[in-house]
Amino acid sequence: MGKRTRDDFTWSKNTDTSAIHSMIQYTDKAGMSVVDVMGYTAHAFRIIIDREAVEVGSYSAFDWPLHHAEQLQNLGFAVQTAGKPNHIPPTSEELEEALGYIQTSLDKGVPALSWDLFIPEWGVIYGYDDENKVLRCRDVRKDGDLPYEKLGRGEVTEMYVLTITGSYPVDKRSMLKGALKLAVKHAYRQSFESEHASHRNGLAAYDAWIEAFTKRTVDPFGNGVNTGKVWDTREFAAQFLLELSQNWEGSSPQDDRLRTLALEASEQYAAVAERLGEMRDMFPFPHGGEPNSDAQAGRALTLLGEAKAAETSGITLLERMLEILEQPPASEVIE
Amino acid sequence: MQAANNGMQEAYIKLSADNRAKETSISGFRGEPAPDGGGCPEPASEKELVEKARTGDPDAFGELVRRHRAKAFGIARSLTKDHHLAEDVVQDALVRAFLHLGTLIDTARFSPWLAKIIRNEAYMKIRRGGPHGKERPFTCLEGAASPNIGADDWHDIDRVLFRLSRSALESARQAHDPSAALLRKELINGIRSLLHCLSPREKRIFEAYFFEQLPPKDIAILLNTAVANVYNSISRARGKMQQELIRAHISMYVKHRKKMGKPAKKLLAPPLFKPVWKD
Repeated sequence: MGKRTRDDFTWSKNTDTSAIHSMIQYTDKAGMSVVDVMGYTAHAFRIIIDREAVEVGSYSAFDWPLHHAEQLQNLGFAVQTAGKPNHIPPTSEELEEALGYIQTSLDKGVPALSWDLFIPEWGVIYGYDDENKVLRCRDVRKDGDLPYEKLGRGEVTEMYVLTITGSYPVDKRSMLKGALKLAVKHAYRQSFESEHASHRNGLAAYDAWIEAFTKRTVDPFGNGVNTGKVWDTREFAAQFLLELSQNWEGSSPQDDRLRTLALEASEQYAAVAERLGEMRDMFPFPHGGEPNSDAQAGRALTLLGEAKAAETSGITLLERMLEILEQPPASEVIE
Repeated sequence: MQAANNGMQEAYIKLSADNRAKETSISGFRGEPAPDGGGCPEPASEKELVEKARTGDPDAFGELVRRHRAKAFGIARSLTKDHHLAEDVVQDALVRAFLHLGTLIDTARFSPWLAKIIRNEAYMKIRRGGPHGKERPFTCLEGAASPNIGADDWHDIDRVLFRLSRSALESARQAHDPSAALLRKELINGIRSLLHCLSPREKRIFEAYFFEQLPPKDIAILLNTAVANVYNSISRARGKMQQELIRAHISMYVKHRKKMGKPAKKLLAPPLFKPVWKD
């Protein structure tokens, strides 16, 4: 049995959420922790796996504009996006539109979220210079200047930009309710179109993962990358729910129940994180070990089966929390 | 090699007769045996085919087309709900796929990648108003503010060049239609303004292929080079011109901002997000 090794929650392997957390620090909601961003965007509860080979792009196989907008709206932000994942470089018109969004946002003091700046991961654009026609960017690979014309023409040649256009107050209760709705929807409902037929999200993603291991068709690199990313989310899920059980305000019986359920759910997600943590050690980034050897695949199948069971219990607990939040709030609730 | 070649022809021949103009328009991508005489082991794996096609091998691409055309058409048909429009979508998407094959990172994932392109192409066509929607943007060339670069609407150089590379049949039809002929002339003028970014040799090949509509085989003979080199030159020239067009647009954009009195630069405090990558 693996053990939880995570004690630093100031960074995440999930670069869109890391980037979004960075951007929030320039707004009136500055100070929000990575744990809270992971939890209240419901990113901590996401999982997408390709059932053929656990291919490397699984974690990015979703409709970015739609999901990032949903996530940020839940935190109380209005957003605007340009581009989408389509493997097609932007036309000059699309590029111009995106530059306009970025510059307008930077002029207001808030950086932009983008993709594949120096590596196909999400990153942040935090400066521009019209004279030299460059954007100042940072992603996990590099901090530096990117010529305007290179936006959307990186390794995977597709453009994506998201900017925050407004911020409005949201209370914690609404944020939690919204996040739980997103988490539950993600767990049960497939969000892919037919062409993404090999990707599964939520609980079905565990079946997809199990299928790839059973068939011994796991891509070591892709599996290594995705194991690390999903492990990371579940560590945050456990931590978010633990903090919620400790810090949730309110003295009504409903609030008591919410704290208890959050603690129970935290334990389930910690159990998921433990199993995935062991897998992460078995299949380390970047070479990914030998996922198709009988011994490793056998162990992975046991761990994934246990992880799925714990996740199923976890989601049931989240649904019960949601039921409580959907009842009219008790009068003594302060939040 | 012969089998793959036939397969490819068969794939294209499935097109309906009224689409023959377009069918032949991508004939530049087929028909000529590889200069090294081929020797394609068969049946080749998809990954191998993609890798070959990326080097500009039209036969490998043709074989990929043969394998995926039915599925591609199915996707296009389900999105456009129109048989002819779906055929247009597939044709344009295949041209696009051929041109952008170099951007496909994982060669084992050709099928989902092609499906994405098909879908995107279909949405683009539906958005632009169906089969004739795409005619509209080129009229925007008329009266464009800049003499060098046309209006925003012909941003898509692939589409412009695709039109230019249409078959002789199409050209003949255009010759009887003064407005179409004018449009074509404007297009060529627009494109010519971009050619300065090419080397003299690339420019020659480019003009021969797109303006004179010579098949790559003839260009190769004319310039005493291998057909594969002609393909590579066309592909490289296209990439350079796309970049040139983008650069020109960015310059105009920046000038416009300056004129509007917008700030010239802005640098915020570095984000918390840390570069942690170890190469």
